[in-house]
Amino acid sequence: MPQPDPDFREQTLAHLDALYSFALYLTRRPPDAEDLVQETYLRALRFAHRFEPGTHLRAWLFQILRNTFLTFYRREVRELAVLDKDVAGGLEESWDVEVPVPSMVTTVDLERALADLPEEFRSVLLLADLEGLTLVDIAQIMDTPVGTVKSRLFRARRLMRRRLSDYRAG
Amino acid sequence: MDCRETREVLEEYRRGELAAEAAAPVEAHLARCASCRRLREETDRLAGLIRTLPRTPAPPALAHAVRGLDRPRRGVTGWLARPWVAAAVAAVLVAAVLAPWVQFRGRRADDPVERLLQGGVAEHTRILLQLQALAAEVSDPESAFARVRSLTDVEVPPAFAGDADLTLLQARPTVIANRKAAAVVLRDPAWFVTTYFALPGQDLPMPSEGRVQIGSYKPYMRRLNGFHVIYWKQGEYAYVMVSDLDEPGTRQLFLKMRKAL
Repeated sequence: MPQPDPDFREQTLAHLDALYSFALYLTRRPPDAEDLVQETYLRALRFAHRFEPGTHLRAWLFQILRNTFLTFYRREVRELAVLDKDVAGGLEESWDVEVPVPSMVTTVDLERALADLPEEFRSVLLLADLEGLTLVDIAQIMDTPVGTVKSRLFRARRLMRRRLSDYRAG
Repeated sequence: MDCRETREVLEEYRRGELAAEAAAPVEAHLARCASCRRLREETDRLAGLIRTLPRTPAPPALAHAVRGLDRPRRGVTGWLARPWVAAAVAAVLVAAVLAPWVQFRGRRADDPVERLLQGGVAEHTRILLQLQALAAEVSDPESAFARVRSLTDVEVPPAFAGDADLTLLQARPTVIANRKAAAVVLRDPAWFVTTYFALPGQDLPMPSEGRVQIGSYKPYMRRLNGFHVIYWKQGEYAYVMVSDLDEPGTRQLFLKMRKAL
């Protein structure tokens, strides 16, 4: 394993908390999240020479983390195929806000609605809204065109609104 | 600019990722179109809520481990070999085989037991997210249970405060499905976490379907959001157990608890 530049290592460490938080939302178990983050760093340092200076280091690290996660937890493969077919089928029908966000939403409800989403949707919301990454960065992380990122965001939010509203009603 | 064109770039616009000259027509359209404005407002509101979700910082030990990554260490195969990964893979295989069995018929949002199970799973998930920060063990189960009793009127028998295999992490009052309950969090040596909830349950029904034979008991059991959930009634109380354990582990734990409570 080539020894990575110490500066590079320091730069990657600046993103440790964000990576851990994302890993915890993906795996839901602290020991799993820790392993996932360690594996991410191991890969990042091993492939440091592949990182292109000037591109977004944070997005590159998130991309490695998510790919590592999918490699080990690929239980949603079938779901994915369905989603992508769905997304390709046009979006216009989904534009309107048929169910608004309820006026009172608890953190528990939010976490539950998020945990219920398929990984693609959960990740896109977390990256876009909690981590505040740009659409271009998210497209890189999820290895998909920006247009698909936007469709997934729309669909993810629509599902969230429905679930939050169901919880209030139920 | 029409609605379709506006909505195509609305995400870039609300994130400030559009150049000023491209943003101006979007702004103009939003000023005159109530439907697009509503979409923007609802999107902003949900995004704002997601920003309020907790972000758990990395534990210091992890930062330390990451700094020491120069040294050759276990790679992916080592990670895969960990017992919990093996268990997770096994759980997925079991779930695939048992998929028809775990389908629950007649699941309804207004069913009180269903609400209880959903609430229990949500609370368990929340506890898992918080454990990193609060993972101190309970040193004095007696007083922890006494506190829960005084706050909820729920009797938590001190008989089940863990044993040689199970460590008591928390005992606390909570509310699930609008009912006061005691939540007790246990972990095993591999850090599989189980939360059980005890609550007054005289008015709660016992589902007729979905029940499984465990020893001489027949509780209701199913998989929900990746956890195993068991619901049963005992005396005046109803119990919901939500576990990270695999199915045999969950069954064993139920048996142990059912006998101890």
